Amino acid sequence: MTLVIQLIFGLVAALIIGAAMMVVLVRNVIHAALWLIACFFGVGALYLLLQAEFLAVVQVLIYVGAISILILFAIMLTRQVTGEGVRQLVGGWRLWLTVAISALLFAVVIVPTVASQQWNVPPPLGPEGAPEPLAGPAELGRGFVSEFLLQFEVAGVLLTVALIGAIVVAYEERARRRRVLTLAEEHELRKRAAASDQPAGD
Amino acid sequence: MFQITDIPRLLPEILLLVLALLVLGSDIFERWGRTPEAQLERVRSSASLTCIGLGLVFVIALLQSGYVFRLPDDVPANLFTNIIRNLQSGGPAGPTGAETLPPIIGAFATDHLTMIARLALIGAAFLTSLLCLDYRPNAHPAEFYALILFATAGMCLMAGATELVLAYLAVELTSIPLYILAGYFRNDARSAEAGMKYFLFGALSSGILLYGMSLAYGSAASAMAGAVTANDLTQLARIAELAGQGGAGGGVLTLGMLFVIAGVGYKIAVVPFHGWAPDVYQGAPTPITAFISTASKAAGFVLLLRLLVSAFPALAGSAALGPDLGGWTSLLALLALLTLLVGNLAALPQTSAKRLLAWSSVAQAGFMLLALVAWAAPQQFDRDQGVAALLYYLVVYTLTNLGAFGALAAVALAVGGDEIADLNGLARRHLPLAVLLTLCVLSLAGVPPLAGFFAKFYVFMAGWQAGAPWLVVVALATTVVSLYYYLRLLKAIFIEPPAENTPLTTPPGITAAVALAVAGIVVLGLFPNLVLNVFSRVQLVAGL
Amino acid sequence: MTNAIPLEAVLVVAGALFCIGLFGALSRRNMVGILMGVELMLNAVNINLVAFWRYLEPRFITGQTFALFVIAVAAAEAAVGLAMIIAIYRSWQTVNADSVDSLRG
Repeated sequence: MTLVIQLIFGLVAALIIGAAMMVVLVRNVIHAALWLIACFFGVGALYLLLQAEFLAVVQVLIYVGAISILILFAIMLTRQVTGEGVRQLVGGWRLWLTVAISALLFAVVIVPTVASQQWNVPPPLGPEGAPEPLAGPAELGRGFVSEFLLQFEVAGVLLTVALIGAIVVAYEERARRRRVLTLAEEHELRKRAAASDQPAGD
Repeated sequence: MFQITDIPRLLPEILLLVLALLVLGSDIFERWGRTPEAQLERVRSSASLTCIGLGLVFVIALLQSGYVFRLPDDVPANLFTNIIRNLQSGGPAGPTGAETLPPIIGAFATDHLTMIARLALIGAAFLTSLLCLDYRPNAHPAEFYALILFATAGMCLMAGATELVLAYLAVELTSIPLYILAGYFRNDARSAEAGMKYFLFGALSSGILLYGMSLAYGSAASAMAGAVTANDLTQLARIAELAGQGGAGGGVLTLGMLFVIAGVGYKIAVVPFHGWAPDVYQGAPTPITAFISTASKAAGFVLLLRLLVSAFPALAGSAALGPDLGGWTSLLALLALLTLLVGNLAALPQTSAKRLLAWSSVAQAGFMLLALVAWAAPQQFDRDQGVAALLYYLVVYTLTNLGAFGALAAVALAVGGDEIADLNGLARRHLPLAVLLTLCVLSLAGVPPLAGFFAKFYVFMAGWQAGAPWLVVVALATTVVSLYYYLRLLKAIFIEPPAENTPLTTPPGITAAVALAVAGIVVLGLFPNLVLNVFSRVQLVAGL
Repeated sequence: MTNAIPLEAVLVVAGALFCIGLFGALSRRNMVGILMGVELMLNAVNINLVAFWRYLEPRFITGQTFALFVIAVAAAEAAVGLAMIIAIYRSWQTVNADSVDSLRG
């Protein structure tokens, strides 16, 4: 049983890290968004392994169901016709500096600190045969209205502010709103513009 | 647990939120015409509602604090005195007038530090909304002012947060409206770029801050004593208590502290987390620049003070060059050194007055960090003096920067640009504004008898007591360097011939706001004890 | 679960995810790409929080609550950020962070 759990954890961890690497390295930004969805599913699976079932469901609902769809919408609405050839990462020495910072941060700072800490992991409680008393959605709900009440209300205000702000930022008066062209129409427009320029230029 | 008597303690924040909803509602539930006059009336209505509302909230907060007067106990009880008594029982002195109540749900402290910060932040918001009153008309005025109010509420929550979750939520509640406000004038290329840069930097830094908070929570949860209630482990005081028992495990706590300093360091724009500041300050609309550079920075400093003192007191160390060197005081001393050097040196070659003031704001954060370093002093009295010096510097800096940016806004509206060359001959074209701007600049440079001089003096004394004279010497040297670029501004105002000799017209709202700010600087400079008596009531004990 | 996998393993996975997200946020030029890096970092924080909850203090709900708040705020921030990106695209027809970089000095 232990071996099965370790195997599953290894697979989930490989999914998370692998998908994350693809997100930051892939050229096509739509592919990056799809790898991001895979990574979110992996994190949800990890939550299931850690017995935080409610959080796993919330992860899939919000991260995959809302945020990823929002990211894909934003990518679709901001397509650059000639953009696929543009470099997606910073160039030259800046790229290697970033790689060095991230790699050093991981290998030299985070891993030794975390591995060398004396974690006092309590042994599983509960009488023989019975699972340990884990806090679940009931305690979560109770916590939101008692111990985390102020934070809950502030989070509500924050979401309202984000809603108002996003609408204000993206709003366009009806007179200025123009139809978003499809890729084919944009290509057509450019071809026609180039063709009409040619005779005048000769 | 949350009790019904805790609601008056949250009164300023609740009033700010209600005012924001009122401003939004007043715009939605009314039909506005399409003519320019109707649109102007629409802008005026939101702006004046915000200004009057903020003034009222400031007065109520001042009444609640009891700093001006406190209702004596033997006054006959009628409706009016009962209201005031209930109001003041929610203030920092508590119902009896002597002791401070414990934090609400352990998360939000309503002590003197919070009250002073609230008054400073609401005052800054009031002056900002006065500045915005006559600034360029914007597309959605009600949302503009409502976002300012939401951001102010977030900043007040930041100043009082004694728990990790509320601290993070407050930082986000402050930042998200400010991202939108910085990029509000979408058609202006610089404003849109400022908003985008602010957002990207801010999102990155909130991720770093959260990672540090998660490590702090983990090291507290790792202690053998364990939690008592659900929100126990994220309270700052408990983290200090529990993680201190860990013994062989300071590593994760230290790492968490480093990430937290990095995350909050972006908010206060210290080097090396200052990359966003010059571009965002220059690109954003000038009243919003004034707001971001003063109120947001002040709230960030108070949050940093609370986090470091309450959650990581054992890691304080000392900035004195001696056996105790290490800990966050020496880290802050190093950051202060970098900030002073980079901020002042980068301001020297600037040709844009707005960008010059932006770099000078970055440099001023270095002086404020010097006051934080005072926590390394061995005596509690010196530490309290350090906190009082920090608060005094924050208030003076807020007023000064609001005045300076406000004057720049007036000049930009009249002349059309914000280069130093646009300030040429201001004394001949509009003497009152020139005098006000001069006083602000002299206060920033630290010239007596303005408040800026006393602010720097107290901060240097605090740094000296902390045993870091090397840092005080560097700060003095950079003050002399900063005189050069401040005097360049004065030279443009008084000596250079103006481009045209016509008198300038400045909108009354902006002039009023700048005049109020300068009046504050002059009063605080002549009578610093007026506020220092109040600031010394703040008593931060390590681990609380 | 706590017997089979040591806490350090989960924390290392979270740390790796955080560093990959940091790399993505600092080196991608597409603004949406930068935001994706930030989302990876926030997921790493959540894994940290849930792991600490499960291994160290599973009787109380603190870690899960914190993680839930982080998810909510991440959603709000993503909404605002993507709205800004779309607004910039409408005016400048680009989402390359280098092209929107006129302020200098």
